Amino acid sequence: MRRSLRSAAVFLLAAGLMAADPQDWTPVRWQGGPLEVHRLAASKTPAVDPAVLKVLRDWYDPETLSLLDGTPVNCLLVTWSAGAPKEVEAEQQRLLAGYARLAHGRRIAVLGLVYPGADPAGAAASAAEAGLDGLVLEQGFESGPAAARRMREVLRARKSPVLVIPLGPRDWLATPGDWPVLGTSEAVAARIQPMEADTAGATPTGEPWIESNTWLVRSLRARSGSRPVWLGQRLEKPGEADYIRAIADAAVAGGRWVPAPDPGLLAGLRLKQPEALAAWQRIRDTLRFFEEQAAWRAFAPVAALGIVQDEPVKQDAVSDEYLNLINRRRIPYRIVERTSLSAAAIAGLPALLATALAPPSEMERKLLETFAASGGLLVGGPAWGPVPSGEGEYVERQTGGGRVAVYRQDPPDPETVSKDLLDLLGRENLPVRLFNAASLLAQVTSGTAGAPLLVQLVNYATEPAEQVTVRAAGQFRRARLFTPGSPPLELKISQRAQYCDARIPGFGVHAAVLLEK
Amino acid sequence: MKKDRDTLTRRQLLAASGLGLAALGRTTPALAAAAPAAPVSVAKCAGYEAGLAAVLSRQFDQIGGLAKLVGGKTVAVKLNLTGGGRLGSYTPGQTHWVHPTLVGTCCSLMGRAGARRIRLLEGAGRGESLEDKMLNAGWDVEALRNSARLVEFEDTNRRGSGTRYARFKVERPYIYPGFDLNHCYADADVFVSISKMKHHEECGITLTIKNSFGITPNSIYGDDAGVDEPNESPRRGREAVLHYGKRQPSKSAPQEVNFTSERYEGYRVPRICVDLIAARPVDLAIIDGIETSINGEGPWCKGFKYARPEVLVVGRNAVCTDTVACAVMGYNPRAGRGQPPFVKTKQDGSGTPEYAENPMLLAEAVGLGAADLSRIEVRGVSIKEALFDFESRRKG
Repeated sequence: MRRSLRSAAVFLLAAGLMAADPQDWTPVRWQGGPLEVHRLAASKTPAVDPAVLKVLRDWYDPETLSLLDGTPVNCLLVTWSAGAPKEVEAEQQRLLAGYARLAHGRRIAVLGLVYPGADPAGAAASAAEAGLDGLVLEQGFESGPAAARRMREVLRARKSPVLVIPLGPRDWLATPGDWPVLGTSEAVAARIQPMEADTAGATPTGEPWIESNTWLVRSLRARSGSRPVWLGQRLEKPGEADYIRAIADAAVAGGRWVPAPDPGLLAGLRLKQPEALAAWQRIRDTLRFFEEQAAWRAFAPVAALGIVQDEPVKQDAVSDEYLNLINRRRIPYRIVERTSLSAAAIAGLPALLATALAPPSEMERKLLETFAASGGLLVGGPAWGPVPSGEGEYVERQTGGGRVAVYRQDPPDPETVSKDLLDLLGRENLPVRLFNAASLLAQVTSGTAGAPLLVQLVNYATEPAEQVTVRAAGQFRRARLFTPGSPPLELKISQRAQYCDARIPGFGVHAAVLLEK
Repeated sequence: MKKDRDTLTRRQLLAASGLGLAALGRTTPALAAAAPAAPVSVAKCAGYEAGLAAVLSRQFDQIGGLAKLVGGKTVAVKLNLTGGGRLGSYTPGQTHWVHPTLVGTCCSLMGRAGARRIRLLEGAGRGESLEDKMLNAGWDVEALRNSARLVEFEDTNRRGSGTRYARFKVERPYIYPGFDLNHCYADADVFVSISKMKHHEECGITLTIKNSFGITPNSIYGDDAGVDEPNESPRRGREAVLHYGKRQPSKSAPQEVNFTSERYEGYRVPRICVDLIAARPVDLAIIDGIETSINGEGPWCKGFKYARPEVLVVGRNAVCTDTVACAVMGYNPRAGRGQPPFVKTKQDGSGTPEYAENPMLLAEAVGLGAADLSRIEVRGVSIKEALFDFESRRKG
């Protein structure tokens, strides 16, 4: 009795020290131990080198915590339960209970990963016993939200503070619920989609096909309120730059990718291999960079277009494609939730894509017609009204001081719409444009009125980006370049009547340009 | 499938043989024999870095000097900035566009030679200026702007900064008796064409003569050109009007000489290019073969690859300059249609004849310049010393 009281006191003390708010967590997958080795050995692809497995078995040696020194990482996702033989699970959880206590002493939260095959209720009960801070439900459960709710019931019954975070496919978020983190592992590896040699740049104006999650993070953030957004995808055979790109791709949109060092990298770190340590250093620098600039997450999107997002959406895939493809066309946008559609929500926007309003309510129709009549551009689908037959994907008409463009197709094809939007808006009217940036995507944000304009760039190519020009509408007196691991650099700017050009000599994966008025 | 002579129609044969034009009395052996011949300078140049200005300067001296040509004049420079895209990590200037350093060096030398105003000209895409197009390829536009006293930029796919188009007449036309072009081509005292030395899918090669294809405004010659008047917001290329003759340019501009002539692009495009250099003659031709590409005019062409011939060809007569450059590429500059390089490599499955036409011979036939190496004095290094065999590299 006396011993358990002492344990409880140690736990409470440690819990008080650690970063308690999920909003402040900088997570990383930190997976090893006998259960992880069992899991990896059982998985058919990819086969893991037995020598690596041997090293990973001892991963929860207290010494591995020192790898986190100097990093902003304060939340570890550890392998907790996977339906393995009882003795394997018990050994893993015994090791982790001690490891978690040590982690708490360093103000690091520990979340247990629960895999299909595990008993959610049992995993929850053992996590509460061991003093973990949370449980993360991995994809593969038949009903993830149901399993997560079951775990939460068990924890509530025990009055345990252990949090539950589902990190599965996107359809688990169809009803976002009140999870402390809005996360999904259904995300892409941020990169340029490889093409066959002869088809690269297949047209005179061809651009590489960029795979990015920025649209997804922004979509989740629009629904999440103040909750953090996590992406939990794993990368296949990642190189150092792949980790950096995945971190940056999520971070520029205000989310966090949960870095997942592959077994080879973890083993290399444990064995202090120079290559692994150098890669870890760069991952660390990138994570630190974004945490040092955490204030940027609160910046609001600077937009040439508002995209009305209906929730729950009838056609998720189409809705996602609008965000994805418009992002690829580098049209700065902001999401306007249908539930919060109001004159205030769309104030200041030059254009609005309202294809999700199918059909619009009378109130919505009136609001958006007023928007167009006041000089805005409204883009809608056939639900917006009868479209006369004829050629062309859409019909455009003047209304008051603005325009309404109505597509014939229902729902309008996202690829066509994203392409047409550049013409409808006029490239020259975009608040920010990039040049020599075929492999880059940008997120444009700003603080309150008069605050600097922030243009965050991610380079999805394996080669560095060079001689990129950022053009911002308006007058600016100063432009500074921020890149992970380097001090800020003053950029030369060319000020013209309507815009300012800032030229970036080069950067690897991520760069941010802060333009000051 | 490639058609041979036996499968061509009589009309195609007549057209392809060039008899159609000869029968009209527009070309004569006498015109060809009297076509002017001007010296051409060939130089080896290892790269675009230090030393380029010295090489170019020497070449200009070898063809009569730059000051005499541009001193106190307004100079229009047509650049060769075909399409977009890029090959791997190469910049467009290393493969299918002229290189920005070469352009900047030329501007600087012309400025020092006393040029009053230099206008860089090329067609740009919808919603972008020429400067934007350059920025998109990583060019330092500010450096170009400052490379001489007054450097301006104009997108010639539209009317641009002028109040109207300038009319140019063709004395001995193949396809068009005249063209309406952006005012900059008329305002200039001196017209310079800077082209890449490269292949072309439909025409065999791109050199100075082919570079003039791009002086036509899409507002009049584009697929979405206005029927009666120019469309000042053109979005499309020149396929329907110039390549295939499926429609006519805007009625405000001169229409074709013969609406029933051959429509095949391998026949039409070289002839239109020759019409264009007749309409707006090139005063100085500069061919960038330092770094370039093999197999087509841009990275959208199948088998497109990087090459480094390290050569520059400069001359006062576009036909003579192209003739020498063609020989430097390892080709017979008097090769007939269907002989390398005048072979259409693009397989479009249309069943149309897949030959291209030799534009130098077409130009010579109407008296624009000599396409005969025996009549052209080559200065600097010899063709043999500069030779870079494009055909073996294409096949390889």
